[in-house]
Amino acid sequence: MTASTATETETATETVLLIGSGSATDTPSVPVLRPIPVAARVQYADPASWTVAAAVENALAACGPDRRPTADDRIGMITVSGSGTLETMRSQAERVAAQGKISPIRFAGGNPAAMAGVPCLVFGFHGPSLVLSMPVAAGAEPADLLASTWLRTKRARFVVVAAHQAVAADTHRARALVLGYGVPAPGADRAIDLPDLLTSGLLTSGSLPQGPASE
Amino acid sequence: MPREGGARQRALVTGLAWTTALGTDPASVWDRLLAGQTGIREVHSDHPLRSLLAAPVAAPGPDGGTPRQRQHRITVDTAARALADAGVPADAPGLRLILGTSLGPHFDEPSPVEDAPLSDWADDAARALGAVNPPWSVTTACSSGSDAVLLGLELIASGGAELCLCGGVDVLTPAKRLGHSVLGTMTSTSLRAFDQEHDGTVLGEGSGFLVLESARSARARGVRAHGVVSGAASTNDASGLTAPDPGGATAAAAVQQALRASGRRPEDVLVVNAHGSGTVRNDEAEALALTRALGDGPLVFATKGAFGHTLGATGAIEAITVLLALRSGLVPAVVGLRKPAADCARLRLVADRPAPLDRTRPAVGLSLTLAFGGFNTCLVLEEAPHDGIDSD
Repeated sequence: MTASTATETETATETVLLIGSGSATDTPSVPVLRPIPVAARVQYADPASWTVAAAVENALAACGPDRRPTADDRIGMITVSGSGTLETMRSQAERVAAQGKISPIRFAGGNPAAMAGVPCLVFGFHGPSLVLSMPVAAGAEPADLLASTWLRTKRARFVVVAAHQAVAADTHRARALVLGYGVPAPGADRAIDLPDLLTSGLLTSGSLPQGPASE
Repeated sequence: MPREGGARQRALVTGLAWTTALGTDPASVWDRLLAGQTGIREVHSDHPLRSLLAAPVAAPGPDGGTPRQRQHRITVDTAARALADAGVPADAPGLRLILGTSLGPHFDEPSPVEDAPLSDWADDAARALGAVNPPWSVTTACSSGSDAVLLGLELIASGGAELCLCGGVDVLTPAKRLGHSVLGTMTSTSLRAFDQEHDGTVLGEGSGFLVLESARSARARGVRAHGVVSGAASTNDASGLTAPDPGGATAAAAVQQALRASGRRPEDVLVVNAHGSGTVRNDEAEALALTRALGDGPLVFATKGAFGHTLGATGAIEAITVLLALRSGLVPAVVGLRKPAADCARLRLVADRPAPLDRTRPAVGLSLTLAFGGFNTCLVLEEAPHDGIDSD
């Protein structure tokens, strides 16, 4: 994992800032961390939700100690995913059809909204939150609109935008960006392209990183 | 008053439609709500449940059908009626569809197409309607319909579109009934929101759609408005996947932020459609949130005792009820409410019979939804301007 620090948009006035970014990949052999303190309140979550949470953790870490949002900050969360929690929903649909039963914890944790709900729970984000249940390339536009609006109108001090994709059977990949709002640092890059930032490293094919948290 | 740091949020509602357990015609359904009717009845289940009660709708088209087919028919039929009400063709070049659902058909009938995205139901509906632009698909559990409206409002306010069709849809399915039964969120008696005997919810199904439009576009088309969405905001409890923040602080924050966005004050609010799911934890948290944000000023009603809990549709359906209350000057009673629970007693709950609104004040109402995953969303709705459509 590497940190992406303060790149930026628009003019010398306040604008959307990229504070940090991170990625994560979840495979059966190398699963992402399921935080133990949170597990008491999240008995089950779909692997996709945990992968997003891991990417968010890495993005927060990449912000550095001076710029990392704290629990007191009003932090928003947007997740974009086309496949969402289909893994859990498919398994439970089969169980309902075959046995007429459903697991309560998988019913709760398999909700696609948990793709944003779980990161909010893990990191204590109380700002606005939403899941765009659509492919990342298409969902980047509304994600960009919401993130920039929430930041500009002070609805959130930071917004974390995550993109998720199931890249193979039992393999999930997520990328997260921590966005803030302010005056860009002198000499910083000027324009952030949210769709490009979300999709770079996520949608490309090729070998997957070997670690649970990598970029 | 402009909202913090930006242009004022505002969009006109120039079309609306719903499919509910009490019917589809807005005026007729409103009359049934005011009469205290309910669409909840016993519905067969192949599996043991805490309760057989549910609130099914008469889906358009042939009887039966799979959850996916029913979701499609209800979506397309309701959306087409909302667009017709607005006088907007579905293939209007500038129209954006923003469709929300909670679980839709996915927990019972995942797409037959491998690797199909979760948004396939929305894509199918957009194609059937003949929409030019691909839809945006939103899911925040039981706030999905509200968040579709929130996103549409932001899109209009940003100038990114002049017209949006926003709303939510959900269907009653075996998996959802089983899920809420085993979670214990389903009542074993009946849905009694805010009542001292409340013990759970009753699932329903349906849809609600609002056509949001910029004042400039509505003025150019010469159309009337049902009302105005003047603000929206959301927060997350970060408390649990199925349990709300028991103190209601973050839901209260959503209300306060939505009011700030609209330039309204708490004392301006005449009426609130509460989420009122009928579960003890939800009702108590919501009562605390509304009291914290608004005091005991506005009338509070809830419609799940009539429509059932329509999950991803509920926010859009309930936004329509607020618009109809503001227009009619009457607020329906909460079906099933006999004696308010102690923690809910500070709310001005409407019980027994409809209550009149104070028509001497500007008509401002709220819709609040609280969802699994901690998603709280508040919409601010206002009566349509009497003196024509003003500027954005």
